[in-house]
Amino acid sequence: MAIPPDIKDSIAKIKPLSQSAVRLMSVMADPDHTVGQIAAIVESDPILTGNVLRVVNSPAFGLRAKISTVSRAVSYTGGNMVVGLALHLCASGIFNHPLEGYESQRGALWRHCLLTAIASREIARFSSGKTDPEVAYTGGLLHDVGKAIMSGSLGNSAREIVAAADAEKTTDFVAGELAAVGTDHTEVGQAIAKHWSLPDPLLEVIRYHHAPSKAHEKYRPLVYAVHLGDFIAMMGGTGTGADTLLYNLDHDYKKFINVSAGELEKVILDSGQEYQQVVESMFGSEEEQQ
Amino acid sequence: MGATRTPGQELRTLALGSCVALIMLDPKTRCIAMVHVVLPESSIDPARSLKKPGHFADTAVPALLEEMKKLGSEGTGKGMIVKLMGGANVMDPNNTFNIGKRNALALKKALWKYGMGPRAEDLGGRISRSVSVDVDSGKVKITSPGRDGWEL
Repeated sequence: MAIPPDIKDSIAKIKPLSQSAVRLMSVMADPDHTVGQIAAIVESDPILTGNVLRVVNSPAFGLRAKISTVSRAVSYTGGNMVVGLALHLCASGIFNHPLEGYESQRGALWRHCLLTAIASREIARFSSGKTDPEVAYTGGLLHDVGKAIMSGSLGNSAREIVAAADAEKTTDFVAGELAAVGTDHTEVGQAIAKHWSLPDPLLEVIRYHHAPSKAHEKYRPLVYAVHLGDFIAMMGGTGTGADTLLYNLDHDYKKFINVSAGELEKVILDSGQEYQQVVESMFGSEEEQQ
Repeated sequence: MGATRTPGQELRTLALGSCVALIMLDPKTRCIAMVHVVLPESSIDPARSLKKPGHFADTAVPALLEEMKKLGSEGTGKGMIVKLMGGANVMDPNNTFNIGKRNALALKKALWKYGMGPRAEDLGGRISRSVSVDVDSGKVKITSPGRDGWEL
């Protein structure tokens, strides 16, 4: 399948990522990175600095004394949160794109990606291969970027795809996208990732998060981690709309991620709690769902 | 978790995913109550179940009865109309990711302890449901993106 020309044009017009987001992702990909390296990148970007300080001093973090230096802020928030903020700042057009084609609201893509990121990082800890949890987090943040562009091309097809999937006439939403548009959100996402010059592990996550067995062997445990993180987010009701849960779990995940039912339940609880904290610190307090 | 008997009011919960919404209606007092259950067993995190009993199937049932007792219900479960919604299921032969199914089973088990069982249920499938119920009609409305809404 090739990406239709109009979608290629839309991808070519996407703004590049900020220097700080790109540098943060590359630093985080090194397992030996330090808080100092992250703080140095943040300090070179005044807008990111302001946001990191705003978030760490938000009520959600519950710190007694106000924090005014970047390095202390980064040691409290962690590098993951900083990468998330940097991506949200420079690619808000993508993440806050209303997903009308998926019958979803503005902000749904960001929320889904955020919970997927947290859950993928936690699940990566059960990986049998060498999977860096921090890369799984970044992969989770970016896995569905393709939906921002696919949304417009889907038009009113979501209803038909959902009806076909509910009647078991189509295997999953990816197959439905392919039939309706000629491409799917993973292929479009990979093209966006190439447009942004993202590194190979992230390209593989974006392209194969619904078909992890097809990922390059080297990155397969990582891709399986995000595959599962995506399911955890959807199971928690934090999907991106009409497509939520209309995907197939790859039952071979056990070969790569050795997680028991009890451990998964812990991951669900912990991820949900961290997700709430991050959402509150970024956007303010929300009515808590029971 | 919430309960009300005020005319005109409704209870709602958004995007259940594999979580299950348990609704109880008391025909005597016209009180309605709903809880959003995330996981089957509180033994996984007893500390959290003390703060949020509604998160777990086994602690959610007594907690919801207690809420209704505050509004004048007997609190024993007798005469309650029970409805279950949600519990979208992920097929997993490893019995790990099928939490929707395990949630629904655990809730039924917890209800049986009080001699209760669901009068109506809309469970499973690959559907993330949002649910609302109102005091005036006691009707449960279910919506899910990409689908027309339905009632239970």
